[in-house]
Amino acid sequence: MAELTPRQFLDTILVPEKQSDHICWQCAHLKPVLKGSKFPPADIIGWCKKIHWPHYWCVADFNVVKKCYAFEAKQ
Amino acid sequence: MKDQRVTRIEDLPGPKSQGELEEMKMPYEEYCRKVFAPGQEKTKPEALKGIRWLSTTMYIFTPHSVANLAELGAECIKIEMPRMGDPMRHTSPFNECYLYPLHDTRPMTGTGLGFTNANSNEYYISMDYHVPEMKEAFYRLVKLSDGLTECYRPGTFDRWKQSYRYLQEINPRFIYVWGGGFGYGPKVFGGSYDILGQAHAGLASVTGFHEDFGGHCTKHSNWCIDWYSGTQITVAILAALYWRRKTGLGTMIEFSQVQAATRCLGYAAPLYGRFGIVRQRWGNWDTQLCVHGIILCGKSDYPDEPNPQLKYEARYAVVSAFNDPDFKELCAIIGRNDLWDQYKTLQDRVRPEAQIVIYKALEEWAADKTRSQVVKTLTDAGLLAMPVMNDKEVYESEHFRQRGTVRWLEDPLFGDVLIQSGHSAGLLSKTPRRVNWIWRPVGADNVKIYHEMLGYPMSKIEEWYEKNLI
Repeated sequence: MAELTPRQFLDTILVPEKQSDHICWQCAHLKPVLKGSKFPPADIIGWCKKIHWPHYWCVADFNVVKKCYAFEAKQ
Repeated sequence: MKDQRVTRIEDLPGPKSQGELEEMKMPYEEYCRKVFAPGQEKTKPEALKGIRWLSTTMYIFTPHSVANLAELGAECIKIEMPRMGDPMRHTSPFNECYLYPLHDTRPMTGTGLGFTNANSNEYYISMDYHVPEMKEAFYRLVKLSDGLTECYRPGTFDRWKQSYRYLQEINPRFIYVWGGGFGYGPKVFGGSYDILGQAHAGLASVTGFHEDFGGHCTKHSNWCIDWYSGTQITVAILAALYWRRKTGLGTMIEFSQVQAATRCLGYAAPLYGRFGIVRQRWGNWDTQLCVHGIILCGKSDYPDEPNPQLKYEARYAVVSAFNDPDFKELCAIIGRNDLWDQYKTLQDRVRPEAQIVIYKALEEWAADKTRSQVVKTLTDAGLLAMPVMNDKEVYESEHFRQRGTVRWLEDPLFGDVLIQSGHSAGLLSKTPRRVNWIWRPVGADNVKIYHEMLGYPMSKIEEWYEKNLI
């Protein structure tokens, strides 16, 4: 197996709860809600680590964002 | 009845006698020294004298709620498990320093320093509540007391027929405190520690460095939520005592430790509710002010000390210069007027990107200086700066000495003990807090309470002792 970067390794073990066509899924700054987590409100898919950094900004599923100034594609 | 139409000289504010006149002429500083008089606490009356409180508690959080009452003069009786005592007695830093003894049946064990400050001034008796034989003594104690603090799992005292529902029948004025982990509700059987409270309440998530700087969430390494919750319980008890004066009736107080910490979260919940922004940890910066944080200086104040805590760690300083003239001055001192040109308003400075630049510049300036040099340079220029002091420096600090915060206590059993804050957590001029002793061995006051107060014959007490009931 090719050696994983720490980020890739985390992606293999931290499985997101949901998947959708939300642009944030392709963004390096999304911190997804993890599978099995009961804590966050139902419509939250994760947190943006860029907008309002160093606070986290809640990303809701129903706000379908097409474009984002902070977008950076995942490596 | 006073005639309201007449103005009498003695009703007007101001000095009424020669002595009061002299007092009014005193400078404020001198007046404070006179009325608070550190070291003279025991010559003054006690505010809560006449209140008797039972403490069936363990660890820090619930015991501290009773120790607060005891330091204010209440007669507090701590009931412990026979032979073993409060589990907190068996804690000390790395289990190394014990003060002897624990109990006469366990000569090789002692009470550790972890027990200090949470149970001062109390009388120590032991009792096994499970045994029907001891129920009468327990109920008689309740009849003669104003209240009780307990920390068993929710419903345990109810099962043992000694919860508020039972005790209010035998003493309607009784104030009953349950303090523990989660309280009633979905996590009713969840036990708790301070660290659990810090985690569950969201407090640990905002302390420590942000993950972008490689940081982790951090718990405060002392049990600050235990101490804080204990004090909050004391406030509830004082309110309940006042309520009882008005109505003659007792109260039940239910205090969940894990939710006490939410109160320390400041703006976090409203921020999330209004904007969906989750507060993150910022380490040594402030989210609302810049410059207002802790910087690392290059050189230690004690380069030759063998203790690494002094040799390497005495290098941090708080710097506060957030308003515009102060920040301008700070930039001039560190030779970075360009920063002033760039960040002229607080709004510019407080942005995270700006804080990174500003704190980096400060640490670069401090790289060839000791903490003392940094603090002196800044305070000489009229800015706020303070070394991050350690225990040794707090001990040596003239500020705490003059106010009597850190002092040596001549404990009746253990001799000299250095203690902090018990005397001076809120100075009271007429009825100051005091520490008479830090703790006593398990069951030290069994004879005093069971024999002298409740009137059981000595033969009965010896019988209980032989049967391991006390």
